[in-house]
Amino acid sequence: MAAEKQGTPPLLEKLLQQSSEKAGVWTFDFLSERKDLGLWQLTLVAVGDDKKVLGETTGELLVQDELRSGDATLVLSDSDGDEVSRTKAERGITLAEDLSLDVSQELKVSFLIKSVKGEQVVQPQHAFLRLDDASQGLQAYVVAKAEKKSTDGRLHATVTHSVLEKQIGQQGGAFKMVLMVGDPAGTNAREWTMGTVHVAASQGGSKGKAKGMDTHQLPAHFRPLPEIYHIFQQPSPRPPQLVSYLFTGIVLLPLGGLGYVLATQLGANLKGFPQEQLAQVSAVCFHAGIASILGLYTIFWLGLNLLHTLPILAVLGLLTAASGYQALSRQANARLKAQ
Amino acid sequence: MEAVQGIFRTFAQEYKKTPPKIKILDAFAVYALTTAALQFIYMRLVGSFPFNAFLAGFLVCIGFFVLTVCLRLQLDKQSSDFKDLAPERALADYVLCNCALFLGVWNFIG
Repeated sequence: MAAEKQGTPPLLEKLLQQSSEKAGVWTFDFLSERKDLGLWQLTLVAVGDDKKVLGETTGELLVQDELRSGDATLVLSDSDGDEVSRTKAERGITLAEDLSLDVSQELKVSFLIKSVKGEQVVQPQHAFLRLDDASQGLQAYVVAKAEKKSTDGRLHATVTHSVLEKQIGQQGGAFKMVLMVGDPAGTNAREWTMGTVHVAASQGGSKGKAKGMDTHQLPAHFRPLPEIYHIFQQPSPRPPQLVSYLFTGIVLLPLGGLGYVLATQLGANLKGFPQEQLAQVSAVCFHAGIASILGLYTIFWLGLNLLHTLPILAVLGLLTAASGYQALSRQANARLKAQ
Repeated sequence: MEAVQGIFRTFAQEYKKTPPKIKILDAFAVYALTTAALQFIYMRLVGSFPFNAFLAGFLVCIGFFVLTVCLRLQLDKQSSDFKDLAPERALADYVLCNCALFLGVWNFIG
């Protein structure tokens, strides 16, 4: 008989023994040969005396056992990899003293999973370290993996701020560390509350400030940067609307005074306006041109930009200049004739 | 005090001889100066916000006053400097300069 784990070459080839108790029954004690948990594929080959293969059949065998975690080691190290503290947690017992994890530190939890009866090291399908803060309703999971170079089968779950930040943001808090192990070959699922770790809030987190985290102890490049506050320009104090309207009226008063003085005191009139028809037309065009330029300035102030205004102004300016030249030269000629 | 009153009396008598067209220009100059003064008083009493609008309003009054005084000088027959300058030409210059001044001010007023 050959036995192989799924997807691997045969690991075991054994001859079956004829049972002494019952004729025609062949037996094989699998567990006396192999104690590895998992799904095994069995191939039964019947061979005749002449070594001829008489028949072949296959079957599957799931070897299960109770899983048990060994003692765990919790190593706290700083950013340079230097070990800060090492704590041993006995199997199934919660640590009496809480750990604390600073922004620059990492916590490495190492443990071994074994089968109870076979005492074989097992690489379970699922092994997590769950960080649980019930008060904030936060949960983070860290996968426990075997190190590539390691041959002892120990699993390691490394808790860092970057791992936590991806799952729960920059929040800090008191997290319970719960080890969770599960595998189809295990008859039980393990859940072990190892202890509590106080995680300092990352930069910007609220709890770090609340708990008064002493960031001055950290190296300069790990200290949180000062928070940037945008200072917006404060609006200047403005006078009440009534004052603005009052002064608008006061500033317009001289214009009224000017009109009054021109009309009554100085006798301003339009008698000097040209009488000749052509001169009259050019004078009207000249004044209309000035008025249209001032009107354009008003439109420019209300909505147009300078690039739109200047071409229009050029056209109006040319028209005004031409009509002004006509009007003023006619007036000059008339003045010279009169002299 | 009487000397001051005498100065004003003489000024009033002499000013009566001024041509009406020059008096009109004087009225415009006084109007511009008064408006500038009122804006300055407003700035001192209430505040200069928005400052660009205050500057635009104040400076256009001063600029208009200066241009008007220049026109007055050019039109005054008693002034010997501008005897050869035609009043029509002086008016054309005055209009052109005012158009340029107002364009600058309108651009600055915000």
